[in-house]
Amino acid sequence: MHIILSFLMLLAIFVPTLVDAAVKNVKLAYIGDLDHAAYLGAKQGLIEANLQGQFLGLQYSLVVLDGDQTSATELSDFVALLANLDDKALTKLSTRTEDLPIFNLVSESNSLRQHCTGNLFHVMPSRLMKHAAIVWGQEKYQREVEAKAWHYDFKKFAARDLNKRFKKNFKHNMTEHAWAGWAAVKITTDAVARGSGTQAAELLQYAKHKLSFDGQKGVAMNFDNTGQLRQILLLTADGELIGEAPLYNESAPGAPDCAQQTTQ
Amino acid sequence: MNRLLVRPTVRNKQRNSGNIMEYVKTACVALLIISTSVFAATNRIFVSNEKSNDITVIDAKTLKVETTFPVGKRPRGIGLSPDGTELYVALSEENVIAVIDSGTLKLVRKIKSGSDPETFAVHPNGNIYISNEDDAKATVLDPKSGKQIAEIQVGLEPEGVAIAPDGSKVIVASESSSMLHVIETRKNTIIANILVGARPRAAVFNRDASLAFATSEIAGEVSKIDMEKHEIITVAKSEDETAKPKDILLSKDERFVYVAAGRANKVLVLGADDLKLVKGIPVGKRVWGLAMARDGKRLFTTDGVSGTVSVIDTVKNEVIKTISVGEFPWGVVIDD
Repeated sequence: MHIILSFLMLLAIFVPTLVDAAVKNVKLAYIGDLDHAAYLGAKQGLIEANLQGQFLGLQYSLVVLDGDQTSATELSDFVALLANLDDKALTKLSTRTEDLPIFNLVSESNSLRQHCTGNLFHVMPSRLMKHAAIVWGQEKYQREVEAKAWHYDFKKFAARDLNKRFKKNFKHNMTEHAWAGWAAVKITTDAVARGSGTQAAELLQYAKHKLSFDGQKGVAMNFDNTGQLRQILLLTADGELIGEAPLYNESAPGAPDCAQQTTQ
Repeated sequence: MNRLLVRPTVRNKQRNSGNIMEYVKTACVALLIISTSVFAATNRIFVSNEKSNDITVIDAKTLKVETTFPVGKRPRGIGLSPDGTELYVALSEENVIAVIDSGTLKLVRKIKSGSDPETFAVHPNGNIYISNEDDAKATVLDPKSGKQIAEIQVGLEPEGVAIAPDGSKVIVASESSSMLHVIETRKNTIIANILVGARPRAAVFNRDASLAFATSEIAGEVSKIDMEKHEIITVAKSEDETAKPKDILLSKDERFVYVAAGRANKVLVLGADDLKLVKGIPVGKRVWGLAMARDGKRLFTTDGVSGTVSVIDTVKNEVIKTISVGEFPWGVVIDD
């Protein structure tokens, strides 16, 4: 009897401690090509998220799903889905799982952004955004320029550090798709750390209304009402980084006003 | 920096040469005078110039540049030993801390600091707490022996380091993990992690270490933190979107907080109590570094893009002089 009592007392002392110290597991899903830079970027984001998570009792994992594993039940375990898919597959997916934030890592399609889908977030800039940046850059630099979401030679705003970390881990230069994968994981995990909760629907609201994301481009980023990430773009000429195009203030140039179209 | 300033007032009360003890006493006092003169403050302001790889030395009394000397690759963090005799400079691209005699301005030695030292703070016991930006860790070094005393795993891109005046606690800010790590210095272990606005860059304790103030560059915020509970008390967000807060200091009377607001090209003066904006003082472009004179009457800034140091009169809260220094001045420290 004494032994049992002592055991129960010990249990009473230690169980709350163990519960307090319990690590919360948070799962993110990825669908798409595993040889793609976007996936490597997401893995970089995961390493960094877990470095932060260890101090907060959070453990993140990135689970790779097949394109077919997209039923609501199969997706119910995840707080967010990172998608490296074509426009048709993305649209289909977003209508099927309305409460799950889906991050578009690759498509630049303007028409995709016209849909005003409530749970689709475009980390990559649209073609319209890139075009506006190119026009701005050609006027400024008086030469042919290209616009990218990221460049391996970008150094300001600690971009140099992110480029170094990525190259050290994956032996490749960080491309704009790699940056998009990294950013999607960091947006998700930053929201979780800041108290969005670990339910997909809570995270969705956080991403829409409260996000202030440090994408290592010197400005706090958020999504406009089309789901497009507002961001500065980097300008290149002959592959060399030459400057930065400014951040647009409200919606992306030429984008619809989804606030008018949604009932929320 | 704290320094024991001894101002000897020697009077030979007795001229009795037969008293050996008096001789010993006199000799001791003489030694004290000599040692005091050796350790007397140089009244110099030292500025690390990140791009021109040198240190600008300014006379704190005349506010004129005394000299500029090369120091090594990418000098950023800068500090003084507790007795002021040694100047420490973090050379980010050499992975060392350069130790310079603050009097002769000669390089004394270089200490291995771990990868990519960005900035550091000097503990009252003389040890240096360094943030190693590449490695997500903080290193504690004894600058005399060069020995590493501890290595502490922190978040991503550690930057600002602040030490409580009594030496009991250290704050290391991890920029990319948006966190302040509170380290107790007996065992050098983390005792609390405080999530703050995006990209925390610097912190400062008040005199009794009951409070700390920290800047978040991307969030454009200043947080006031209860250092007993390790909880945020107040957060102030700058209305000016260009304000990217970096260095932070308290006024000598602890009534005001001074914040270097980066690309807003201003030093913001906030009330320490409510963090409400009292004044924005225009300075040079991309202001980052701050240092306060011992008497609290003058504040010095490093204006990175302008290549200047602005001198602020803290009574009027106005710039009284702008001094041209090297390229991209980063940190500033005063030996007064």
